[in-house]
Amino acid sequence: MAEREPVIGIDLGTTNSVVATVQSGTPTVIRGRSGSNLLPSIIALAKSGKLLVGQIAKRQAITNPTDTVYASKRLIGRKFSAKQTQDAMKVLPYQVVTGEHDDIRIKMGPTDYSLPELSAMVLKELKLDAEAFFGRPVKKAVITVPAYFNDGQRQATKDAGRIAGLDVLRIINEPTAAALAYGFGKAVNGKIAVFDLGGGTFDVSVLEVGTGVFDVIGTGGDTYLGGEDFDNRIIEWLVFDFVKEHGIDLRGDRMALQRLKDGAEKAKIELSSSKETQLNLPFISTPVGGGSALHLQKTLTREKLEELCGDLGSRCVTICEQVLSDAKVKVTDLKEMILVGGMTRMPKIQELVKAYFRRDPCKGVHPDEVVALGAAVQADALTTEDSEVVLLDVTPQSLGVAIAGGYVRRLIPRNTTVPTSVTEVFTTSKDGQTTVKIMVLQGESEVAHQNELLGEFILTGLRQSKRGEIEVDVTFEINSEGIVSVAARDKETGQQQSIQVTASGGLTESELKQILEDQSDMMLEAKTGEELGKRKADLAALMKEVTELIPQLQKATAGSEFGSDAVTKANKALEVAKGAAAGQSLAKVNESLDTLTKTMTLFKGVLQRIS
Amino acid sequence: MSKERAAQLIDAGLWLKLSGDLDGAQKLFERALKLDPENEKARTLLDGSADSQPVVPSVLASQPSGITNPFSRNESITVPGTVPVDAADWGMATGFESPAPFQPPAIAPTVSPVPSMVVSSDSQAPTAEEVWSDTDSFGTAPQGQSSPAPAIAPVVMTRPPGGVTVVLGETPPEPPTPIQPTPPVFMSSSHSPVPRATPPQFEQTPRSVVLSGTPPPLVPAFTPPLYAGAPIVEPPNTIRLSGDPAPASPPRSSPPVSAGQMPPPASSPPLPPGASPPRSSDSAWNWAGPHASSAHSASSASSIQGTAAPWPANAPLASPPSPGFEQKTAWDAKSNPGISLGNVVGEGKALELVGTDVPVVSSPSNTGTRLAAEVRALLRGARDLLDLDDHTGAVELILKAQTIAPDDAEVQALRDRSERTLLAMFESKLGNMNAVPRVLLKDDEIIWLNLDHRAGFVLAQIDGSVSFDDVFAVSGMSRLDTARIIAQLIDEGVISRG
Repeated sequence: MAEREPVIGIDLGTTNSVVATVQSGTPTVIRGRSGSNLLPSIIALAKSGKLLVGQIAKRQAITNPTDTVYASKRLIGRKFSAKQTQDAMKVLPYQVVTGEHDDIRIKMGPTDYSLPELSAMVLKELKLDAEAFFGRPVKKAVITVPAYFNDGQRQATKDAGRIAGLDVLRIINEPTAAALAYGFGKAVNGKIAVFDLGGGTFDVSVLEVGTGVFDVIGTGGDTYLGGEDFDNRIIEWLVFDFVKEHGIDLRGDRMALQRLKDGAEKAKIELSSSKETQLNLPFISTPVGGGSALHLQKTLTREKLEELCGDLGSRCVTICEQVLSDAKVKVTDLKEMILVGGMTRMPKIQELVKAYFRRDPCKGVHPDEVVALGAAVQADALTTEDSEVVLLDVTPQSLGVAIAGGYVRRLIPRNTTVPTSVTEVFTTSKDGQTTVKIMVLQGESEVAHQNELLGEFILTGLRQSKRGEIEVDVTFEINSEGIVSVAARDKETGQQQSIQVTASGGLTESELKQILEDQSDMMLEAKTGEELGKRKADLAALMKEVTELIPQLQKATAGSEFGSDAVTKANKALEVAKGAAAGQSLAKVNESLDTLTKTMTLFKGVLQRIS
Repeated sequence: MSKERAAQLIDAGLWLKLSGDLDGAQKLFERALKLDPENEKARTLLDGSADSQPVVPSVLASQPSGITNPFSRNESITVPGTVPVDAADWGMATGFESPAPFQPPAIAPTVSPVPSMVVSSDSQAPTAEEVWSDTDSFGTAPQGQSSPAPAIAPVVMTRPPGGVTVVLGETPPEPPTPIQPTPPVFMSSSHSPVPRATPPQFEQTPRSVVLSGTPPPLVPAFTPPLYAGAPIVEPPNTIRLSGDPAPASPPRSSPPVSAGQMPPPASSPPLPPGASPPRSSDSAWNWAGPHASSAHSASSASSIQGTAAPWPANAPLASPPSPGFEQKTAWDAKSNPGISLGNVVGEGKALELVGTDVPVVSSPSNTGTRLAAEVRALLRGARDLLDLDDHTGAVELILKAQTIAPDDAEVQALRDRSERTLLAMFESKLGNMNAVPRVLLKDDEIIWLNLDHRAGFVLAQIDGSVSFDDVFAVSGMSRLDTARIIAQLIDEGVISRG
């Protein structure tokens, strides 16, 4: 029986990403080639020109802030002019620029990268980890996104997968994946809460779980609250004490700040399992004007950390209250509670969560890995015929049209399985109105401008009449490819206008194709370059060998015409090889390799016969 | 021709010596002697270099066993040179009660020490070896144990950062002070005392001074002021970018003391105030004035504690230049006529100018010629060093030349060449760039190392998971600086090759 094609589940996180698979029915995290299960979602262009991804990029994030891209997930699929983008730009150290069609580009060195390209670098790294794990190519994947991601953001994530060389089987919500990892949907049905406190974002979701159905009934959070805030509190504490002791503000030195950041994160992690930890950062600063470098040595207790971060925990609880209230769910309605994200390992957070939800959170799956494992479960289910839980493709957010007064009329509610089609009748809102503007919106807000505008068109030629007399049929249709078609038809005249909305991740199809072509050229170039390098090394070794043999041959064939002729030819061949080795032509290098190999064989043969 | 070349090699050797590369200097002197076997200066310098070998002071030797590598102990405190002078602090730092006994006079051109991990913020602190040897030069443990260390020059100063170093050109001679023994010919580092026109006091602003003593594991930002009660010297009105050699005279066998801290040997007759100062033909040393020597001799003597090496009996002395003195080296008055203090921006504040890196501006009439000559001389020195495969020293000189002539294509080309070679040398020490280095010392041993924050950062990146190539990528420094630090960490046994 042919071996099954490997499939993977990817948690493409704001701060860290994880890849997992299902092996022999057991969801398993794939350990990266660096030895870690987590891959920081960070991409950087080092000063040396080398493109760095993951842990190595994280290590230089502070010393090289302008060319290090982190938290790109906050921007993916958004428009440059969007408020969220403009807000994010205020705090991001790297340069965010606008693309040709209001999409976002990020400047790293001389190149502007689109968000899908950057995310693709992280996905590619995870793909390589998976390929190293399986020992063969991996092409199919399920990728997770936050529940609040709209079509554009989901499409951008899909595009990233495509650039990375992955066939994205499905994009699923992170809380859904977490629930899947715990086997919910089979054993557990009912409402569950997912508390996800990651490195940079905090999300709370409430899911209604049925057999094969995971309905996100409420979600909320803070996209600027996460583990980094806890790290920063530790850094502030360290810096403050250092200033008191030595009069030096370490924040002014990027190298020192990078070490503080690394040290603070390490200490925070250690305090999840121990009561106190040592922060030991020798030679962290050299005093202005010279002198011996100073060390930073501090002991941080769990109690102190909790004191430093007390308000952050309270913020989490406040957001939970808000989300449950919005979803009209009581804490007592919840059947289970899942913790997601590395920060939920902090005992104080667990304590707060437990106190608020009045129940012990689910245990058994590592909170850092639970989303990726759930994605792997879903990926496995999609490629297994007799799978028990297969999620259906659903609309992640509601679709509707803007109506009079600046409100929204929803035609397709979220979590509607696709393909689907809905038609509703609308009327004119003013006397003598001869045109109607159809604005296609996506989102959950009742107010039109708070939703995402997917497209708009105008239906003209309506008969002049009193308001409410003219009826227009508006039809929304989503096909199995996720393409939304909206049509408006004047019932009286049959006149019709329509629009087709394809979710765009910011890149047009032609741009995407161009990126894929460029990438393929680059790969070919890299492969050729690698081959050329190898061949050149072979040629250099051969040249050395032939050069060393020439004196022996001269000695052995002293005076003979054959000897001098052979040596002359060898010298000529060496000259040609020298030129080939200096050039970039693989063909010439191969040619010289052939010639020198023959010369070598000849020399050795002659020497053997003579000796 | 060979004599001229020998003289150049000696000059270069002196720079090398002052930058702390004793072996390199010795090679140069040997080569000079080979070219010109009758060259007394070379012979003397060779003899003298043997005297300057560092000896482990008892205070360091008494450290707990277990860490035998001198580099592995932070035995020295590098003190910024801009701190005010305070004798009490000096005593606190070193265990000595008296101020620093020795302030070497001007060096021309000033050469910064070999770049090392022990660098101050301006990257000009001495290397670990220098620190060690410099510390040795104190000679005596705080407990009063006698030490075989021959040197008395306890203070090592590095040149002020950037720009042209303004040094004393002509200073009055100093009277002999019998108590003060003479330091060895070579100190392990260069220095740049800076004159001030008014008031008539010779103040010195070392950029980096290495003191002995055993600091606690957590070394505070310790900046003991030095040279308390520095001798009063009337500096000359003219300061020079370089000293003037006296080729006719044999070189001094040891650096003359500055500001009267270290007088010439008894055989040297005291010169009357205002007379031309004695100059050594090696152009490295100049003389401070008589006030300085008389004012400071007693205090400096008390700091020596009997450990200084005696002045070599056969040491040839520099004689004062005659009025018709004709200089022939690159550092002579013709090619390098010096800089008039009157033309220096902020007259009377030369110290501050140097100390704060404010470029020295002289009259436009002769500046160009003089600077061009200086650049030529520096490049010549750099080439000499390159000939001797001392790329580190060469780069130092080239960098100095580049501060004077930043747009000079020749300087840039030479710098590129030297840096390429230097980088290749450092990288060859690393071996395979994909190898993953590991830290060989324990945390409690690491804090005793003598590293600066940049080396500390590089060391912090080495955790057994990153390759050399990765370290280059994350260091945020130039490849050359990173390679230098890694190579030194390997040399000192701090990290493995992978």
